[in-house]
Amino acid sequence: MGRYLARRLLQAVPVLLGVTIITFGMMVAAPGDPIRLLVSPEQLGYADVNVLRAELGLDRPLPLQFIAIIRDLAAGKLRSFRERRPVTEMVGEALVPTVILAALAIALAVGLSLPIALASALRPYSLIDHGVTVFSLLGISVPGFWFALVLIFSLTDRLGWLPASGIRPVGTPGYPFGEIWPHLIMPTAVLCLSIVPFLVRYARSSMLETLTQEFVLVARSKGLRESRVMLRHVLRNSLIPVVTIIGLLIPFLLSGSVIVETIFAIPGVGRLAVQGALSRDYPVVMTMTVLAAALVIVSNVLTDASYAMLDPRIRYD
Amino acid sequence: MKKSLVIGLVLIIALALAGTPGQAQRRNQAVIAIWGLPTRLVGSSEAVAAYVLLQVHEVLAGTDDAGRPVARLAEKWDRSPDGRVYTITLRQAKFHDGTPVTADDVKFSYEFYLHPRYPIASPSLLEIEGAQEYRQGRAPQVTGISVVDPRTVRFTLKGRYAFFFDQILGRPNYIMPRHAWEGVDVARMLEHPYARKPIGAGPFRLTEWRERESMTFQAFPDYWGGRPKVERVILRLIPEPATVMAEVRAGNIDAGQVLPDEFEGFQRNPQLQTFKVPGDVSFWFSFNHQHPFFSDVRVRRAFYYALDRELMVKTLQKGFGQVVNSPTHPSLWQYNAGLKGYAYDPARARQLLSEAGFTPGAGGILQRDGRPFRARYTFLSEKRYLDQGLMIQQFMRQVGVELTLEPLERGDFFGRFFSPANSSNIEVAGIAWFNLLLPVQFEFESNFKSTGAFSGIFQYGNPEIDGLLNQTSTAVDRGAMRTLYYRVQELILQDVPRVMTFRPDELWAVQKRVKTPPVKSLAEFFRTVNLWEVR
Repeated sequence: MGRYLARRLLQAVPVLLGVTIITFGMMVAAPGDPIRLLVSPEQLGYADVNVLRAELGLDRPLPLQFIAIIRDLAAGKLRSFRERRPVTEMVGEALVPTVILAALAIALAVGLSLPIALASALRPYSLIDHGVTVFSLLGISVPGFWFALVLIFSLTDRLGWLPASGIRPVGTPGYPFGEIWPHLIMPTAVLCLSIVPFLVRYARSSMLETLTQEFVLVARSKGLRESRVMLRHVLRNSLIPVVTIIGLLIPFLLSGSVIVETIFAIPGVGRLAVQGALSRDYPVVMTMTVLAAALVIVSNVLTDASYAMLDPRIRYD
Repeated sequence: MKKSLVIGLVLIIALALAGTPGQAQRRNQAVIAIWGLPTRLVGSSEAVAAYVLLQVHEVLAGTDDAGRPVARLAEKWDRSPDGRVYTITLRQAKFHDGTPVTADDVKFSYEFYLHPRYPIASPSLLEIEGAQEYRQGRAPQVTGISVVDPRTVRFTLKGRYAFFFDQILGRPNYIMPRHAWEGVDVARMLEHPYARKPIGAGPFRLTEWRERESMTFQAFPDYWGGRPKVERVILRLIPEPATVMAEVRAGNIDAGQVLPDEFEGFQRNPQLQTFKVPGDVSFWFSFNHQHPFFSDVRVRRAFYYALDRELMVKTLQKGFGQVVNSPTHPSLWQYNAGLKGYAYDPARARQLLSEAGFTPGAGGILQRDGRPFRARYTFLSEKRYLDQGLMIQQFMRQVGVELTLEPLERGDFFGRFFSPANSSNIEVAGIAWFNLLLPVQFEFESNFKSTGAFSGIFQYGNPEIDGLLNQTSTAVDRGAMRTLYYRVQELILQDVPRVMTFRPDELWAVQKRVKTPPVKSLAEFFRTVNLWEVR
């Protein structure tokens, strides 16, 4: 297992290098000059474009620019074009709200979808099952931004119960859960709604399949209690597809949901990445793509590793 | 497994109950929702940075609505008979760190802004004697700024300069403490600690800057103009307008922008006061003046006659806006309110186009010498530009001109397309312009003088306008200057270097518990935050 993981992570190095080359190539090939985006059009005549270009090192040949970006990225010294702060610092700040929301959303989604799927799988084609199907279909079809606006309209605008902007109250130092929780409810709900239906569908079909296995019959005929059969034998054995889906969701959620972050004014990585791309902030774009690639690799490895834990028959030697 | 779940749930609920956010901390503080926060505060050219710098920094002087000088850090001044030398006495003012504002700080600040590596070069500052040499790295200091004693500084200009108070002593030439920035490498100034923790002599200290989240300002008790009555002001970045409006209605935010559709509802809300001022931004589109069709002024005027601009304001802004005839802001003394614009008259537009040699062609599109009147109308791919583009396209089709809409992504628009080197790509291009960000003279020169950055993009030039704009800087008094500006605005309307469409109103809602002085522009709203009172 250890050797397997080491090999998988070693394979990541050329992948990440390839990602940096492709990212850089796409950035410089895209039309648009970072300098022109740094200066507001009104001040076009004010700004000394050459001074700005030299400040950002954009007056050098492209291969040298690429080497400088990679060198600084590896050393963690890369600075944003716009803010001139270390990108690691900017990404670090932006990751906190994103990780909080993603972790909450995943935990809640798993906590909700497994019981729902179980209830649905136990009585296929019953009223509950049909209800769950309708709910899943709705959840998949409702766009997140619309659901977010409906929540804001009802819970903030009409009822005034929840704050609609920010990850924490103004002036709160850090992220103490006791103070930030009202800010988390709506964004978590929106993120959750985008995940739960998928998890429910996959978990339900996987459970239905597991229920027909012979070991379930054996467990029942041994006289085990039904709850024990369900939790120990059915649930555990149906988790593999669910874990796969979660593995795919983690990089998706951690690279940020721009829509949720924009509507709820959350300073997360999604907005950071999009702003970086729109303003041609090469260092930010590079860092974000490398980070996203690394997340995909790591969560794939973790997913594979967890298969072995869930099912002892799966071994990586 | 069950047990841990229960314990977890209990913990979460307990935590939640323990820290229900209180309202106590909100006393004497105002939270303003803003659509963007600056990314840098020194050498910045972002519009929103201007609003922030106003709170933190102070300038030597400025001008009022009528154009008269207003003393700020400069207490009094003495002008030499030839108008070239100003001896300025500083008032007793302090920086946020408690040190006094001295003549040394003044000289240091101006040399900072004129440094060869400082990216934003204000052309007005080059009117100071020796500034050009210093900027080009040929002199170790600016000879035209001399420290007489700690509270007296002398400015020597190259010649008489009418904009001394607003463009040399005024914004954005803020006075910074020399001791904080001493020895800075200007090329890397943004990496300096004070780049993100500014020390100024303005009414508020910037106590916290959370990028992409908020900026917190604390009243500065020793501000020379008196301690601000509001203790804390927070700018909170909320990109989505619907969220801003919900937060204002819920009372979570004290001031925020309102969309035209919703403004009436806010006006009726008993908790809120609203204000409506001419916005800082106006929309216009311009032509490639080298293009064979658009080099003819009759064609350009036909565009004005073909557009029902009143209908555009009604449709796109629910009536909250004004048709624009002058490129400058109505709150300024240079603004010519007596301009008579072009009324909607499609028949007149068709007549002008026919005078210019266009005859009806295939598919209802005019043609001249076998070439149909088709043009690309390029703009930023944002909804507000697209909506306008669609209306302009409709109006022009009615007079036989076919415009193809070409929305471009921001980087593409400003980088590849909208730059002097590539201006021949332009046929017609629409844009919005922030007034009140830069001095009026600079705006006019940049947009309408043949050497200006923007007129360069559209390849426009008019010797008469050039001549008038050269005279303004040496005009003896405001009256003469105003006459010149009025004439320039008339010429701009006649010669149609651009077609100005409308200026959306700036619509805001503010909680009644916050007392704000009446304002004439959004810039003034942000300029008077230190006069707010919070109940």
